[in-house]
Amino acid sequence: MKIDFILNRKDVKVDCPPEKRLIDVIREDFKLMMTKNSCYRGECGSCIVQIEGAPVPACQVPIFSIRNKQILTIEGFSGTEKYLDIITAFKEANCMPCPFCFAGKVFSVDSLIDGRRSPSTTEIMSLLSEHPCECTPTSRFIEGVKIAYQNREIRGELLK
Amino acid sequence: MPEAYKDKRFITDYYSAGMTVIKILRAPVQRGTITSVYIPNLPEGTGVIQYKDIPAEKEISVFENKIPLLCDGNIRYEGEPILLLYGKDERELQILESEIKIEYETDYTILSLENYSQEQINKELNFSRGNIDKAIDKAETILEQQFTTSRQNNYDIDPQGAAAFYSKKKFEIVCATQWPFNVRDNIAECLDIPKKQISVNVPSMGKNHGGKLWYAAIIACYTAIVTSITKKPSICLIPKTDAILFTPGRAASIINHKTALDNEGKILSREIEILFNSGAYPILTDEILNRICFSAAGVYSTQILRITVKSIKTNAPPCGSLTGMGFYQSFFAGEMHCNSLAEAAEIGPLEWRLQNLATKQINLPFGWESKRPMQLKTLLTTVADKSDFRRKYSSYKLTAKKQNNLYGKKRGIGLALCCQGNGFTGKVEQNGRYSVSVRLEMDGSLIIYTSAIPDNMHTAELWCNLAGNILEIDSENVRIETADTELVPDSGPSLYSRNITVITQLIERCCNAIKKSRFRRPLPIEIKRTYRTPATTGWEPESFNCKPFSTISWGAVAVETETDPITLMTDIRGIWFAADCGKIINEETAKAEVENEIYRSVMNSMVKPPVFSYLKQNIPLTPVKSSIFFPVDIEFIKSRETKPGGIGELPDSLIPAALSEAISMALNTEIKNLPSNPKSLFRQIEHRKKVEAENNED
Repeated sequence: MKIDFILNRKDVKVDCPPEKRLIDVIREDFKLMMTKNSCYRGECGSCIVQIEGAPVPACQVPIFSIRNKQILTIEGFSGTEKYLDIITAFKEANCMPCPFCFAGKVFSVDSLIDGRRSPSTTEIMSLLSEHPCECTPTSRFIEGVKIAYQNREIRGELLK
Repeated sequence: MPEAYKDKRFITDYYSAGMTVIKILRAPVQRGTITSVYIPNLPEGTGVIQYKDIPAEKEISVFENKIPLLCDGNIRYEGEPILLLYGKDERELQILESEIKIEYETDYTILSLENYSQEQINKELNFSRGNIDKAIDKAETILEQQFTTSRQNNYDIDPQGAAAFYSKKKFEIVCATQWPFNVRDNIAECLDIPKKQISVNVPSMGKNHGGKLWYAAIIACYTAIVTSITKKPSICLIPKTDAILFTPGRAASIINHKTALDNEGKILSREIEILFNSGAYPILTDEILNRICFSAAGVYSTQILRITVKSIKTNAPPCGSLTGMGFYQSFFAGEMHCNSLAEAAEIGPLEWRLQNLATKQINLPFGWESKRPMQLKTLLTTVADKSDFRRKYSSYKLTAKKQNNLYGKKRGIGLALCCQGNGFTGKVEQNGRYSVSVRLEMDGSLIIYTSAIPDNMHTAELWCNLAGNILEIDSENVRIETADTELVPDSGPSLYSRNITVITQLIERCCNAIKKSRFRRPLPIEIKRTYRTPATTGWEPESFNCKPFSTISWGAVAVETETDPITLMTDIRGIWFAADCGKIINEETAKAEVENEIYRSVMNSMVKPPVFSYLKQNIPLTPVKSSIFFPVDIEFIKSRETKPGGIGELPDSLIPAALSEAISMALNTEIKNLPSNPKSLFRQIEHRKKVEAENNED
């Protein structure tokens, strides 16, 4: 089955079985290896990508369902201003996630700080509970997310 | 994204189209015999490997223990690998799997430790000192208690698996392992080829707690066998469910304590019996027995002592190397028992501990004599003062006794004190001759060669900073080479804080040696150092003699909780942790490590016990993580030990006891088993009510 979609702002086409998972397409057909595959049940958070701007575990998405949709992986997201809000905050708080959960945590944080108010500790803990990787100390991660929100607020992104 | 991340390849990143994929067919019964195996005609490029097809050695070795690669016909646990199926893709293998017919004759199974038979005892360790009977006669109070701990699964987040490549008569193995040389040696035995024909590379890995210690060698052997047949690259990735169920978890245990106290509440004698469930194939048995025996009586002055530890074989999957192994079970039971002893002596738990603490190391149950005085009292008083333990304990105790209703959340506070042995017990380190080498290049950069896998990014950072500081090199110019068994020396297994103690010491020695000769010898300079246990070390478990570990870290914790008496859900109000763990190289890094481990231990102590059944697929694939933030206060007291010590295993030994004690107090019930989840708490409360009702009737 041939499917067209937009991957990292480029029009792409893939020919594969319709039920093939998006995570496998991203990794096997497009060699975008920074999005990791692990549980294949949407529980570990390591395969999160953005579909039409929302964070979604790519292992739960059959390829037929993304026709003409915009997919953003961590490779496409890195270098953007939104990405830098998060990364500079993680560096400042000394809580850089490990390579395995990096993409998932970055996209989840991006979604959390894109609201109109500063995320609460409870909201950040709730986010962290969906990312079981133990690479980031909890208190530092909370601090990192709050700094990321401030970075975005300072940039004026939230007022747009 | 961070530039360094682009090169990080996990084992799943090694899969590419055209590789032979391996699928493991597992036993659906807990115990039995395979009566027949029907294999259909297989298409080209696919194949099946059974026990009889393994070219040479059919078992892998882990020190003195062995475990078969595939089932030899007698099934000993549910999920035991029966045969390997290989082909070009997963989908094809699924179809073939459905056509393979295996018939079994089932046998009775033994999963629990109760009513074990003599044949089930795999190994036993007995230690006795002093006359127990005399002490019992003199005793004012005698307290007997039984504690139990459940098996805990290994929830490593990163994938488990291996890949094999063959070219120019050499095997290149990529394997997510904490012990690359064990993988190499076992493959050499399995294929009956020289070790020099095998190189083992380790891909990027997440934080591991022992799940990739010896189990990785089994997976690597599978890929090596298939590649030796097909001469094509092969890969075996373990599905998440299998990884959780079958990688070695923490052994379940039953622990019996009998303690005699004098009229002041001081310990006269202790009798401790520990049974631990080693599963179908006991692995690392000697190490587990030594550790349990070492930690059984805690850190309290005990002159008259009897300890019996038994490793019991059952039809559960093999258990073994999960962090804090042995110590976790021992300290939970020991510290909970201390609280009951304090209650029996009508003294507060803090005061009882202070009264019974071993003040000198020679007074410890394990009798180890060290020149450096211990600081157990300082540790205890530090956490007690910081947590306001005395006031809270009195207040919560009173409230718990007075309030016999279900209104409002109930608070509690608990204390625990423990130690952590760093590295393996003496014999393993003595026999191993494990090394590290460091090379100073002509361009001024430094390379550390070691097969020890840094357990997290902090360890790698710590080694780079340490080497950089000694040789006055920017730590960015220091590189750690762990990749290939052909390049790096055998540094032994990466477990039990060995990375922080043994490997850090070796790196330090190499760098100091380079520092001495760097301006006298031309570059490059490469120095290799081998670990030698101090002359005083040489643990004799039967006599409790000499030092079992090169260094010991000490820790104390206070945990304050709030439990809903209706739902029995517990929130943590605060955790205060203090440790004496030798030289701290980077305090921030150490605190981050401890905080992570505290959060993990809290969840381990409260999550539900594991699901055994392989056929029951709906198990959670990730650890249950708290969505409640709680404050953690960490303090490292000034140590008199000059060597760095481990800290990562202390929370695992401390938190379960302190947390359970706090919940016990809040609910005014004795908790005697782990985990302390609502279901288990409900059972224990019901049991208490039943006992109370029976007593009232009497």
